[in-house]
Amino acid sequence: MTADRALRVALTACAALVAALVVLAVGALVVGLVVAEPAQATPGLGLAIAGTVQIVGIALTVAAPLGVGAGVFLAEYGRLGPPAHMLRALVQQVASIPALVHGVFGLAVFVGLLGLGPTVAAAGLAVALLLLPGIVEATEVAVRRVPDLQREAALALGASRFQVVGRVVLPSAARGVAGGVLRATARALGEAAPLILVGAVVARPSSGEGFSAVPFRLWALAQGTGREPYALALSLVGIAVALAVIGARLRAGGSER
Amino acid sequence: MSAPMTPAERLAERGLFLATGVTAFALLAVPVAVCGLGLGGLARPAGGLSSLLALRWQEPGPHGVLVPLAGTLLVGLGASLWAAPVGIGAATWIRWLAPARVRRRAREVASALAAVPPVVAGFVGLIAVAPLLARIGGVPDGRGLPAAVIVVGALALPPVIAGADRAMARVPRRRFDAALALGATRVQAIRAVIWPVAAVDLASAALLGVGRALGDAMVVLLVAGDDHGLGGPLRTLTTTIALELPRAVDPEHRDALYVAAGALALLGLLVGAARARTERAPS
Repeated sequence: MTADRALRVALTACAALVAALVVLAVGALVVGLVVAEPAQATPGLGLAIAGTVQIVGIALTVAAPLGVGAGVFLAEYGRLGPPAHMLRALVQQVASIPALVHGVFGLAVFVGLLGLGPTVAAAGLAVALLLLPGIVEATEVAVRRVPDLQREAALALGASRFQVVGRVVLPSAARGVAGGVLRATARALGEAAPLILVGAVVARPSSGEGFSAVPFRLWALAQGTGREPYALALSLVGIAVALAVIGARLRAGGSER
Repeated sequence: MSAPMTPAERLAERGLFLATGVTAFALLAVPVAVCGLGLGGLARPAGGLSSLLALRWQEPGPHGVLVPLAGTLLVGLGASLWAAPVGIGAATWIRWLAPARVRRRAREVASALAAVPPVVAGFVGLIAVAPLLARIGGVPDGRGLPAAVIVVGALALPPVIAGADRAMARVPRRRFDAALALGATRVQAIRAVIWPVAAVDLASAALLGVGRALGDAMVVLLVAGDDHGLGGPLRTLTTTIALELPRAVDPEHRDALYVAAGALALLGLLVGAARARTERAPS
């Protein structure tokens, strides 16, 4: 009975430790923001914000249609065929590749081979590759949740396969798909590793070239003084978590319908 | 007898297939290209194989890839030692012991935590964990292996908790109830029924969570310390690639970095393969 009690205490302690870590981390950021001494502003904040908006925009413009298309294919056309099995396995494998590897790819292919140079375009494409697996998986899950009854009803009325997808399945799965895209947006917003390799800069040199991004700026200024890194960290975490929570709610809500 | 598709629908269906093809190509391109670069460096390294396999990584050479690889594996081992039991323990508490109201909240918080950008986690490590270690642990400036183990472990917690929760969800509820009906306490039922049944899935959830966090560059970049030398001698695959590849000009150095990138990609693929196996496993 005492072992029983000890285990119960240990399990509760684990959960408490996780909660304490969260509170301490948020507390450290807030306290840091308050007590940090003001320092001279580092130029380039505007460049970073503009860069992040552009990178997220490019990444989503590329990854959302491709990922949603592939997810719909997996759920509606492929399901059991060999191509779908292979694609699904590929998605699962690639999803675990670290973001830095996408940066290496971006540096070698987008910056070098395709000659884009260190630009938001190269960075946005590298981030797009990073988002693809997540969007494909979320879309497939959302589309599969649509009850077969709806498909059969549409087919019985004489709809073609694509008409079933376009007019019946996708509208019902829209919330889940949007939730997956929002989650991907949260990820794109906070990803710094690929940008280091693609060649982000803190501030534009006098030649006028170069791009920046908020998570990259946080990394670059992390060891500096002043309030800015704390403010950057809190805004990044706030926006990313908010987007992810809204995304999760959309996905969960979609299943009840 | 299906209705004729409008030209727009026909076009959209083509677009769907095209998107799938492009996605498959893009997904393949990244690991193939990076592993290819790594293999190229491995096949005919500009500095010779002996430099690549040296047990040192320094300027101007040799650049022994085993050094950062060992650093990465060391951080992973350390992080899993604490994050796996804590994550599984927390997930167990949330699923089987927490009051219903807390349970729902706790799940939401755990899934929201997964969205925290790694660079922010690294920053918290830098401003909170490192000073703490410096003060109580006597580590000069607090950065190095211990700080990396703590922060990488923390970053692994959300996926470990989510994975462990899924693993235990697969245990049929009636087995838990049967144990309770026989007079077991909830904790006894967890120990005698839930954990043994879910053991394999729990272990892989822990492995996957840590495997994910391991590949993340930002955390270790911020808490490892710039000095790749001593103190907490910590050089990992990610820190090495991120700090040195953008500036590497020497072909020998570049090849070594490509081999490191290939190794990192391969590590990710291994974690992915493990994940594919567990998620396909029927239970």
